[in-house]
Formats: sequence, C-alpha cells, structure tokens
Amino acid sequence: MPFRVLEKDSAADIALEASAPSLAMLFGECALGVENQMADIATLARSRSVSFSLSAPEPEKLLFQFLNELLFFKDAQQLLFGKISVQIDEKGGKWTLTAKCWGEKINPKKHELLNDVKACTFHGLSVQKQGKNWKARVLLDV
Amino acid sequence: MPSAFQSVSDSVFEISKQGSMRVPARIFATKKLLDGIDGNAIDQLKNMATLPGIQKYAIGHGDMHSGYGFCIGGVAAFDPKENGIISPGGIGFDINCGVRLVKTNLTLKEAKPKLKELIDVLFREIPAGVGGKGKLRVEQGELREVLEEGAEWSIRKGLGVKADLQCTEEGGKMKEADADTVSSKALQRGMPQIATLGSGNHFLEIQEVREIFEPEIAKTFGLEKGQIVIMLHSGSRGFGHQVATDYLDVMLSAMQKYKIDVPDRQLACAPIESEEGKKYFSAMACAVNFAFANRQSMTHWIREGFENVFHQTAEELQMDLLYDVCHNIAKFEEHKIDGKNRKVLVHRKGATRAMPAGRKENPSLFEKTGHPALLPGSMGTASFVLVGTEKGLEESFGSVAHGAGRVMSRHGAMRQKTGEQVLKELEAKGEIIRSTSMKGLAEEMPEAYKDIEEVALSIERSGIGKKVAKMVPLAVTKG
Repeated sequence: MPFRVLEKDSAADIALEASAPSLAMLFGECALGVENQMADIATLARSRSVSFSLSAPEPEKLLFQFLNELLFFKDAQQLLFGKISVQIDEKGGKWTLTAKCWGEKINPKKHELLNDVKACTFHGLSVQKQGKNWKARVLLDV
Repeated sequence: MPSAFQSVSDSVFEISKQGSMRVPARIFATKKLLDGIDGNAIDQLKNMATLPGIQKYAIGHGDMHSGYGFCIGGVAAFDPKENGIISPGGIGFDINCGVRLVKTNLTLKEAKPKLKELIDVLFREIPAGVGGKGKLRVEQGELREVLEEGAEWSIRKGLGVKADLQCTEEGGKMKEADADTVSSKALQRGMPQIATLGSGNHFLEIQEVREIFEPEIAKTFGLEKGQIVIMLHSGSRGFGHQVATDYLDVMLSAMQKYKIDVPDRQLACAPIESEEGKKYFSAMACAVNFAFANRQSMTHWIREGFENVFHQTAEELQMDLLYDVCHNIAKFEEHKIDGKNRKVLVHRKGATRAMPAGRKENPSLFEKTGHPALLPGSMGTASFVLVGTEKGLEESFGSVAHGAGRVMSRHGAMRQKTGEQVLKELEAKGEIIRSTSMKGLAEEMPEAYKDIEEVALSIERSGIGKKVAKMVPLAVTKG
C-alpha cells in the first residue's frame, strides 16, 4: 500500500507516511492508513456509506480535520471504512474536501480489530509536493 | 548520561536554560532510565520550557517518552499573572486518562479458585476494544448532566456509593465544567461510550498486594499483604478525544491573535485568562467529568461481577474505593514559588498528582498521609501505591510518574512476538488474560515498556514520593 508506518518515529503512538500522485489520492491513502490501524480493512464490507465536506485554509489543517472526521464516525456511529474516495479543490486560499467513505459497523466477531486510534495529532504533520508526488506524514494518538 | 544533562543528585538531572527556554528542564529518573530516554522526548521537554508563563522547571518523570506537544511523563505549571498559557497538548487527547484501585477483603487463597470465572464475567460485562459501545443508553440531554456532575451522576444513577466520591480526585467532579463549551460532535462521540474501557494500554486488572513498604500508611489505606485489589485504567474515550481535537484547532487560531509562537504546533495554546483559554478549561473539565463517570460506572459492574461470583454483597466483600487519580489534566493549584504561594495552572500529561500530608486537596481520610498515588505497571508486571512528599511538592509540583512508559514501537512489538506467544508466556506465569485483540496483546507485551520497578525506584531515590505497597497481577482484561 502507498502508506507505511514509521516505526522509529514513536514508541507510544503511530506515525504514518503516505505518497500519491495527487493531493486527493494522498488524502485517500492517509485515510486508509488510519483505518488500517484500527482494523484489517480487507475484512470490512462496503454495506454503509457516508459523505461529507470540510474546508480549511491550508492542506495540513484539512488533513487534520479529515482524518479526525473518520475517528468521529468510528466512535459516534461505530463505522470503519475500507474504501474512501476524495476530491479536493482550492479557491482563493480555501481548500475544500469532499469525501465518500464505504464500510460497515464494527463487529468484533467478524472484523480483526486492532488499535482504538484516539486522534490524528498536529505533531510533525506535513503535506508537501515533492517532485511529481505529494507526500504526507501524520502522528496518530493511540 | 547524555551530555546536555547536569546531575543534581543521582536521580535528578537538569538541562540548564538554553536557546528560547524560559526555565531549565528537570528529569526525575535514575541514570539507567535517563540513558534510555529518546532524543525526541528530550526535545519536547525543552520545548515545554519555552512556553509563556512557565514556572520553575519543565519536568519529566522516569517514565517519560516522546508524545506530541508535551512529552508523555511531563509536568509544567503556568502563572496566569505572567501571561501563562493553557495547552491541550500539555494534557493529551485522552483527557483524565486515570487509574483507580478498588479494595476487597478477599485473600489470594479465597479468590484463586474463582479467578477464571471472575475475569470472564468482567470481560463480558465491561465493554472494551475499538469503538466499544457501552451498556448505558444516554441521550444528549442526560450526557450534559454527566459532563457537569461527573462521578456524582453515576452515584445518582445507582452506580456507586457516596463514599466513592471522597476517594476520587476532585471529589469526582470538576466544578468548572460547562457543557456549552463542548461541540455537538463531542457529545455524539461520547454518548455511546460511557462505561467502556477503551483499548491500547487501558485495562482492568485483578491484583494481589505482595509487599508493604510503609506499614502505618498502608494501614490507613486499608491495604495488607495478600489482599486482593482491582486496578482500572481508562479515560474520557471519544468524548475527550474530540474535545482535545476541537480545541487544538481553536488554539492554533488563538496563537495568531495573541502573537504566541511555539516550536511545535501540537503545543498550540492560549493565555489562561483569554476567552479561548477559559472555554478550553471548561471543556476540559467536562471531559474530566466524563472520565470520572466512566470509571465510576465501570466500578459498579466490577462490584456486581464480584457479587455474582462470590455470592456476597460488595459491602460484605468490603469493596471500597481506595483512590482514583488523573494523569492527563490541568488544575489550578497553589504552590510555593520563589518563597511565595502562587496560584498556577499545573499541566500533567502522563503524570500523577501526589499531594503529601497537610495539603487541602487531600480528603480527611488521607489528611495525615497524603492521598494514594497509583503507579500501574504494564501487563504482566507489578503496580505500586505511592504517596507524595514535601520534597515532591517543592520540586515537582506534587507530581510523580504515571506508569512504565513505552520503549518499543507498537509495530516493533508485533514483529517481535505474536499475541498468542505473549498470551502463552503470561499464562505460563499463572496470569489469566482476556483481550479483544491478539495484535493488541502483542503491542502491549511487557518488554515494550520500561521497568516499572526502576520507575518506582526513581521516584523514591529522587525523594518526590514513597512506595507504600506493591501489587502483582493475577488476571487482566484488555481492549
């Protein structure tokens, strides 16, 4: 997968790095990276979907909000997602994300559950264009 | 010893003011622990020391390791009169993650034949794991009562006794809580999760008191060798996580308004007396109260579980609460600084309050001893009951370490052993384990943590606390 865990970066928490050819795909990869820390996403059906939009004045803040939105669904509606589609537009310094996420309700008997991620932190959070690719790094509080 | 440190004593080390640090940094740890502290944690400690209004020292305890913003195991006090700040990164996402210890009058001999049955009951009755949903159905209106009443709400619902409140930090309720300061999202995250354990390093453990170090204090605490006790470690769940997330964003904007610069955005903060600072403090207090209600409600089911297995009432089993401590919190306290009593906002992030005898924070029962401070070990290792000292009050704002602190990454642990291997090893030692996740069990293996005996030693050697009792695990449930 185009995301990986940066093991040396944290003993207690989980640091993820992702790269993708577009910003929208990068956000999608980060999102799957987060979901994959909570459950084996291969065990998730796509029986439920949610859609939402978020805005922020910069890509880092947008990523912070987006990943924390997924954690909101995990706790408020017990939903985990295995497929995530993202669109991002920027206009006049305002970055807007529209996402659609497919998954299902948490079922300990069916899903291999892993960590209960508490939050995406701002610690070392970065979103950068490097050459042809976009790269991101996030630290998740576990 | 890392070259940046000067030795104050064999268990107190200091980094003098340098760069933009406003105060020195101090670590209360044995040399062995000091040598194992990662460089990122040291950088985070130095970053803490740059924050406006910080008093005396940026403090790290023996269990410290890198986190986000403050290091885990970090303590810092800020004076509102010196533009002191409040920072969500100095408290953590799991606001009022904390520990409580419930006593019984059972001995190991009485409990051992029933341990498997008991832990199975507790594992079934107390929800744990990812997105764990509680048994209590609470609508938004009632959740607001939880946020403002804390453990009192649980007592009102029949999930405990009034005596429990006297043995809970803050009496189980922070009065500054204002439900209007929390978002609808936080309420939605919190509603399904009251009385759930969580996962990761959260646990419910049945323990035996193995050793008494301070007999007179132990007598006051009602602890004796061979006694069965129950330790519970949990926090404010998704509610607290959302409060911290919401206010981190608020603080990032506030810093521009108040022209505050921080070396790490996770240290985002606002002046304590600003509108943003006051609102966050009230919201934090809501999360503190949620966690108190959470642990209090789970205590009720722990008592019920024991009642069902031993066919005696919780009163007959003398299942009194010893104490409940917070280890992710900010509180206004009076401390002597430069010879004068000053009201400061003490941030404890992965650190436990340990007020010695004579402090007003102590309930009357602990007036002459100081309240119990709880130091949980990692899975399969010992835990301790401590008390604070005058020296601890003077040098670390009445704070001690909160646990063992990780030394190995979660994925690193999973590569070393499988959950099944960890389970087998602990069962071979006689411990009974119940977990919702085998991979989670691997992540929490004892070798992933620092030596808790060394952490307890660092507290004693530095003089900031005293060991009262040591407990060993018999059975544990984990999320």
